[in-house]
Amino acid sequence: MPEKFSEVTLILFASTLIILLLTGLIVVSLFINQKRKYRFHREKFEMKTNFDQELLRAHLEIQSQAFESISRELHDNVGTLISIAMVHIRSMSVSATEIEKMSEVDSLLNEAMDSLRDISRSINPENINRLGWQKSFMAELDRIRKTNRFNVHYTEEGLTFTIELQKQIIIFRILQETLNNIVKHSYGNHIYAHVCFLNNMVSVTIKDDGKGFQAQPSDLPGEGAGIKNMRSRAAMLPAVLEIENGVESGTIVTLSYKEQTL
Amino acid sequence: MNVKLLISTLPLLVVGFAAATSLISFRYNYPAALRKLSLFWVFNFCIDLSGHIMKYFDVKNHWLYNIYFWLMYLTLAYLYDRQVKNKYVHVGIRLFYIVFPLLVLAESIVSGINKLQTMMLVTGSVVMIFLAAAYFRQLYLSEDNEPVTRDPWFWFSFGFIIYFGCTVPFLGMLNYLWGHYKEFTNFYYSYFCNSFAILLNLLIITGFLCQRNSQKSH
Repeated sequence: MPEKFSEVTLILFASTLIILLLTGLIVVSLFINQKRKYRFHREKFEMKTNFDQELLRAHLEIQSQAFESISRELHDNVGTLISIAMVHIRSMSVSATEIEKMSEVDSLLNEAMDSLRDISRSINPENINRLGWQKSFMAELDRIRKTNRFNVHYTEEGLTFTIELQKQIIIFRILQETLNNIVKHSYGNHIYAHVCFLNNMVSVTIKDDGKGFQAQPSDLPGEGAGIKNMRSRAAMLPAVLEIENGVESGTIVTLSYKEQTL
Repeated sequence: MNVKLLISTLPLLVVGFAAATSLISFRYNYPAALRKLSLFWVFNFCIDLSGHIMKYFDVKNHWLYNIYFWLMYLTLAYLYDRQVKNKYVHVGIRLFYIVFPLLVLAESIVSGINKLQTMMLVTGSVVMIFLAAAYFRQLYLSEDNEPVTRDPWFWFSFGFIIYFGCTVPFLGMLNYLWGHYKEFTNFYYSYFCNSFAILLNLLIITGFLCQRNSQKSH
């Protein structure tokens, strides 16, 4: 123990204590500052995510309006023109040799009218609102089936549940883009669609037996605009979109969406 | 084993443990600065061990610690030169490289090498506190979102500020205190200085064990 508790010892203990306190203060302020920085970064990230989502929502809204307008134009204008053409053809008096040709023209116009109606229905968002995403999807499969290029197989399991209308449109657009990709690029013969509802979650799997495609990571510029759009839309829901590419054995696209419950 | 010997040996054991722990920097290929610090800590342990052996055999060991402190301050300044990205700090370190050896030389001529060079200790410790504070400032201003607790140099700087800050008033007056209050000096050194040395080594161990993206600290 010290011989004498002098000023020197007091200075020593006091300076040690002050330095310890100062160090503690510096470290605590560093931690507080870091916490503040972390909160700021998180808020910035959330703002950016919200902004991106708003941008995408606006983009989809514009697209939806454009689709609606095209659909209306097809139905009201082009559809009417074809109908008038059909009426004119049917009212024409033709010779016996031309009857066969006329009936062929009539059937072609009928087919064009059917296709027009199908396309008009499939792109019209109001139609999706009225039918719901699942029936619209089935109608889309029917449309492909009618082309006779693909054998379409549809299965479903579980109990359906209601999804917000805006989200139904997004789900349907993703599925529609998947089917378009299959029709345009797969060169396959079969499409297998499976819809599964389970515990507020819906999972749609679309598989084809085509040639597959060269997989690219989502952020590479090589990925098609269609797939990028599908991913952006899935992120908006938010849903999980998985694209499994089996080269030479087709492609499997799975969209899984969980409806948020309060 | 008596209590006094145990108290004086405990810091040595902790330094040994810290030196052994620091060697993981070679196993996991940590950044070069951490590997250099690890080597220095092994050297630190060897010096401390030698110092203890000399003390055990009643051989004066102040000259050994003088040499050790010269090297320690210069090594830590060199390592901080790579950690702190501030041109004024770099200039300060260059200046320290010139002034410090001159100071050591002057003190060696005036006081000799067998006496603990308190001027050198105070100057070196103050510079180390300044460098550790500069690193804290860098962390404070950094835009990096990585938790500071995963930065080894945060833990090292924390340890250096506490160790040098709390021991510099004592070590600066050590020769005077030894002459006037021998018993108190022994008491303070055994309990306080050793506690701060243990704390520093525990923080060094934490620094080496904490995970940090190797890209962040060079």
